[in-house]
Amino acid sequence: MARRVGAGDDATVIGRAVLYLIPIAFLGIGFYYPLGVVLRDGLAPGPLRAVLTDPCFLHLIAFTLKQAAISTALSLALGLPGAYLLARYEFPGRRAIRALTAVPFVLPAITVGLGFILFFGGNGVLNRFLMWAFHLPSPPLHLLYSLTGIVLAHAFYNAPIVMRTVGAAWEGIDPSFAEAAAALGAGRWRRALGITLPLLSPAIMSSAALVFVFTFLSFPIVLVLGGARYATIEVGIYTLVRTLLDFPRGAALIVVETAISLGFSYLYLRAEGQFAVPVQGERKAPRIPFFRRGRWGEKSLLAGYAVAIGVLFLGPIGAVIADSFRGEAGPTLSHYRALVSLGYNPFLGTSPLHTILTSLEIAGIATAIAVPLGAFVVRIATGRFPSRRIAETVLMAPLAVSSVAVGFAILRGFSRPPFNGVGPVLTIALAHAILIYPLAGRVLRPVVEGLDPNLIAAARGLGAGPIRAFFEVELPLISRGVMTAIVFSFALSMGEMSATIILMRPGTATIPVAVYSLLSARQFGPASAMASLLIGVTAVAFLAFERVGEGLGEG
Amino acid sequence: MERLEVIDLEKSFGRTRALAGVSFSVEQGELLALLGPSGCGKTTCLRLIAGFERPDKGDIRIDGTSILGLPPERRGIGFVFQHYALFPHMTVAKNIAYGIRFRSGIDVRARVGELLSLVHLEGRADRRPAELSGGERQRVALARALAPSPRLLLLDEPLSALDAALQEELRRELRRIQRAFSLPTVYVTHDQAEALAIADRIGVMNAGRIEQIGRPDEVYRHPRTRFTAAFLGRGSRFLGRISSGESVIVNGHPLRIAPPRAEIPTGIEVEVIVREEDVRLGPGENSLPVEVVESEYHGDARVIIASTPIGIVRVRIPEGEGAVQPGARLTFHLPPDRIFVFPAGNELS
Repeated sequence: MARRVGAGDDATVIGRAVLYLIPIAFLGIGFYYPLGVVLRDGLAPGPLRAVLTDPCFLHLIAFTLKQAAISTALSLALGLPGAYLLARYEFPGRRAIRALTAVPFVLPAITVGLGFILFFGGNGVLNRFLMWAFHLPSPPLHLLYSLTGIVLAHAFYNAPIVMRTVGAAWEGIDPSFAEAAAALGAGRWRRALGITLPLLSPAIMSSAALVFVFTFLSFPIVLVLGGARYATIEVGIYTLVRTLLDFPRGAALIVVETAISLGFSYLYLRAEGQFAVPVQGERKAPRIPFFRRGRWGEKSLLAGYAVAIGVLFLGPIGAVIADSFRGEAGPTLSHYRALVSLGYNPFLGTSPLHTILTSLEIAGIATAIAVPLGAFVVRIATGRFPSRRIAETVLMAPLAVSSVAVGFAILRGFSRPPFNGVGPVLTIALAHAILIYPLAGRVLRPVVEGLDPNLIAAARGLGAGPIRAFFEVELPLISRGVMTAIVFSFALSMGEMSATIILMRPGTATIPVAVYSLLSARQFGPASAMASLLIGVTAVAFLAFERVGEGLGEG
Repeated sequence: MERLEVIDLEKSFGRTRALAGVSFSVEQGELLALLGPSGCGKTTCLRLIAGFERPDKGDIRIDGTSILGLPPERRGIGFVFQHYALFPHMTVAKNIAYGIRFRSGIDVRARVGELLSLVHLEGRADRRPAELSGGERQRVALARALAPSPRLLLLDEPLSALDAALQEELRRELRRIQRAFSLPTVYVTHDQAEALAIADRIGVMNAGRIEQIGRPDEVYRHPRTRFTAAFLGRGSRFLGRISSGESVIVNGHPLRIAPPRAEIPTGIEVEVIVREEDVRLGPGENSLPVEVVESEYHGDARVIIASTPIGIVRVRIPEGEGAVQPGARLTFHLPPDRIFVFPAGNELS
């Protein structure tokens, strides 16, 4: 079936060439060239051998893998009951909760780190509550600055992804399979283990793989919660590059990191090919009303789970917002007032207002680049031309490289002629655009794919040229998706810290970097006010996301 | 005078050959139905004419002038899609006006009103497509296609998404409007009843080629290929061997066949096709003793599956010839001019 209409019109050939050339040139300069510089440095035998033989680095690599494995297991343990609850039960607020599982995709990790310190820390909400409730002289829980803290924060961040992916798959399983098993005499457990679990395993595998890669490449959470003793490869690269200025070994570490994450992705893709079975059928099982008689044992377990997970999820975010209003003598707005001040703040290296304006400027530029680039990726991915697969791989490659690595690559690539004249704001925006455009493409893709290509064919048949058909038919029908992509990209850029902290220079701190600087200096009130700002941006992005979801539901 | 000519069209998608040289022409006011099973290339052929795809080879001409170099928007076509492809973000009136909005010298409102009354949708101008019934959407799609006064009309399974009763009603309506506009029309369908009822001529398509093209009664009564004979109507098929110019042996049983269709050399293996309505009750030429296996009552007729010396035969007899019970022994006969004989292919498809 045709995707594009009149693909070979002579008049559009030049337009097409331009359309293809600009993004390709951009990616070449903004991603592949800097990456090439880093790979050249990193693949040099000296630094690579140094990294692969130094016990310090080997320990770093081992710890990164270990914490990723444990984080993935914990995310699955916390996420799977939630997936079951969302897929099988009906209760008030189910749709809202399901929607909220999208929050981790937009919530900046630094706010999670701050929230964990404020909620689980030695002087945090939980410890203070326990001391008060049980009259304890000292804080009973020591969760932070340890593997536990890192893993818990990662689970907070990633369990919703498991809930979302597995829950959706669970809902889609045709109940006929289980009914057939029941008719053949299989009891509840045999059906669960012999039918449902195997049918769900591709979804479980893919969400686990995703969580593993995310936590393997995690940076801000480990930076904040790992303390002095615990670091991942990402933190190691950051330290090498920003503190020790050891660029060759930083590059070598990036090579090792990327090799591991690519190797893992490859194994995952191969496994997925073998596991995948078609489970989506014509029918969907009806959900069980939660507040109706029966299944009390299971329901009380699920209710307990819901409360625990509610505390884990709402606690840290609530703590950030509460802390932003807390002064020495009761509630105050002074932290927010300080945000709009032009006074120099020594922890930021500039004024708070300038920090916010820098963030907005960078996010604006990054969005203006990322959304058209994302749209270009979608056009290639859904188009019809011979080497589409290769092109798609080339275009999506930034997804396989960590944020810190992208930041470092651009730092190296743009520190020499002819690009060394590009200012820090532009290089940071460029890094953001590179990191964000594949995700903007993912937001746009279902909207574009959902568009019936016959609609454009119909417009063409009625006498509209390609441009008129695009503006009058295609664009209005995907406009909500484009809006979402814009808001989503903007929010991601506002919250991006990893590449930013590598590229920033004095005076170009952004909001998340400011949160990090302030919390490092134990300035929790101002840090929370800054972080609340990010949470607000996240909330707006999330609502935009939801509106599109509804819109697609109507059509 | 508009005349559409399609000359030796070829089109492949990757390794799949969708069209392997298709030629036909459609005169002004004529409705040609392209009929065939799914995947036979009929929709591809339509999309090539519209300009949504480019052919690998061949030419498409209107009034002798090639339109291959023109993009779809300049070909002057009216296209009705299988699922209508109405613009969901526009009202009915806006959908219909889409093709004429920027034309000079057209009173858009008046034209839209005219078309709405033509398809009997006067009160629906401000509705959105989602608020219309299936039949109404179909009418809007037709009105939209006709609004710009196209030079030819292309319909891709326009009735397949509707239920049977509505199909028949809209089929007549479509035919009425098509006649009124007197456009060369290509109508793609997989439904033989629809094609037989609506078309001036039918092109039977199979595996990217046109098997036979002609008036509906001509292709039905005088199929020239094995595929056409088997695809149209319902009946029974047997393997046999020509024994002389005028008879064929099926399962050891000789059947006389009419000379005009018997120009196949003696001794050749053939496929013998007999339509269900061509088998007659009672003795006559090519009499067969039969035993009834199944007897189904269809209201206006009775369909009998019977075991005979030449194999299992499917027979349709008008209602009123009496109840026939399984196990009954009767006599049928096969009129020689109603027996189709074709050289057997490699497979019995």
